[in-house]
Amino acid sequence: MKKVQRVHSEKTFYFWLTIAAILHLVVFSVSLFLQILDARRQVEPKIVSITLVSLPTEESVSAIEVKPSATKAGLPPAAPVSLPSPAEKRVKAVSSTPLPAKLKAVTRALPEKKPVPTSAKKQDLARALERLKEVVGNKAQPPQPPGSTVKTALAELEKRVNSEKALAVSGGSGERAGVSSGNRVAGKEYGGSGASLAYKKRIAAIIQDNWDLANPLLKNSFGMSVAVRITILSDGSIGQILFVKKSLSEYLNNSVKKALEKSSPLPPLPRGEGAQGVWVAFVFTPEGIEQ
Amino acid sequence: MFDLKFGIIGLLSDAGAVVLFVLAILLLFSIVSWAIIAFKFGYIRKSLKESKAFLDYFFEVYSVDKAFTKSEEYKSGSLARIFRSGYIEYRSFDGKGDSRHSRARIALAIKREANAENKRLASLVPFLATVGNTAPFIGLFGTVWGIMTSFHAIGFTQSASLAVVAPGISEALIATAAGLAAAIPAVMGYNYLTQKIGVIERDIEEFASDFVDAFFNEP
Repeated sequence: MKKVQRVHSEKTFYFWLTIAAILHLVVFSVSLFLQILDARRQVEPKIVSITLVSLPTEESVSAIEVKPSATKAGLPPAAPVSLPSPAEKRVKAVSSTPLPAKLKAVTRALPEKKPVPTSAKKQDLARALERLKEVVGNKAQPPQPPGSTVKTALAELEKRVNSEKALAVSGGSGERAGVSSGNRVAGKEYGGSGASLAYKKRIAAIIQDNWDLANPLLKNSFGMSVAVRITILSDGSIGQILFVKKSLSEYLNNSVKKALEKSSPLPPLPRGEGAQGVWVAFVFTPEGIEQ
Repeated sequence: MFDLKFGIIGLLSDAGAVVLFVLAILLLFSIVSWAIIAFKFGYIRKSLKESKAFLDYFFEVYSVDKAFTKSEEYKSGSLARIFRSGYIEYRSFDGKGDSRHSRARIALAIKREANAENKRLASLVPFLATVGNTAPFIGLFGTVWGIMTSFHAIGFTQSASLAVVAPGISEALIATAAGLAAAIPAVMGYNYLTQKIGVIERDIEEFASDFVDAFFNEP
């Protein structure tokens, strides 16, 4: 009798044990399902883009001022670093076809201009030309150092002629991203932001590949961006990394730094791109991430 | 698509062997605890219900023979069981021998059955106390081990940023969470069951002497 009761109670206990195991499984499955459901409710993360812009150096700005065609030169040097709004970025992402999916090498986003009557436009252009001429006139007569001779003046003239020739050989500014190349006015082979667009795309793709950014960070770093200016030496190695704008997230900053360090050496600069290296600026943005 | 790396699966997949082992133990503890709680809850509830019904009937009829017949219906009732064991002992004398000696024998039989009943009621319940006391510590052990290995790994990366440190700690803390999840219901169940078992034990103690008297003071 007691044995029968014991067997019965054991059976009951095993029954409850099975039920408990099933319940645990159900709770685990439900929590997993809710987690997936919650994740699906959130907006799916969009691509991370690197916006590639060119930063004009002081010299290059002055060089551009000489050329009336380089209309973008009028912008202040800090302008290339300014981040476009997410909406602008999305538009750019749609329009830029030759670049890698995650990457955009762009020139600066110019503000939309209102349509201006052509006559007014011509007048403005004429005025701008006059102003430029004045500037050129001023620059053409730099303060002569004491003891300068005719020889030095001739040497300078020769340099200028050579630089103009070099400009003519290296193609139009239309092929350049952002600003035109060369700081020959200053007599230095800076290159400035003169790296060709194809080269920029190439290095941007390399850096993008090496940029390892953990997704949890993306969730928390909406609106953050890191603007970096790097010096690419002629052999492709990165000479200097300069953070123009740091993100609040140290991890994002580190990830950018690591990506750049990992990417070095980059492909060697194309011939005639600057013997002493070129400046290239990048803006790393975890774009479009919404929490 | 949902990235499972950031969910429960992600936490488990990134956890070390020791943490996984700890989690497995805690899961087992939790399953057994819930099974015990459910099993004992049903058992004690039924026992209380049947004991009450039997006592009502017993004091209503005050006839040991009728009470014995009725007690067959309350097989889970603790008091009914104890009464049955006393009645069986009483019938074994069948009016023979010294009444004083018989009374002592019946009292002994009732006491023996009461002890057995107490054991039955209290069986498996100490496991809940064990889980309630040890599960948080087991979980803590898993966490400490996880953090230890995490810091070891951080040493290799040579970076102390929050993004590097936090995932390891997060993975390790799941062990503590699991420990608490196992311990809290166990402690609650233990307290509830202990209280109910206490009620039954007091009933047994109180009515055992009444049963003995009933066999000799039958109207």
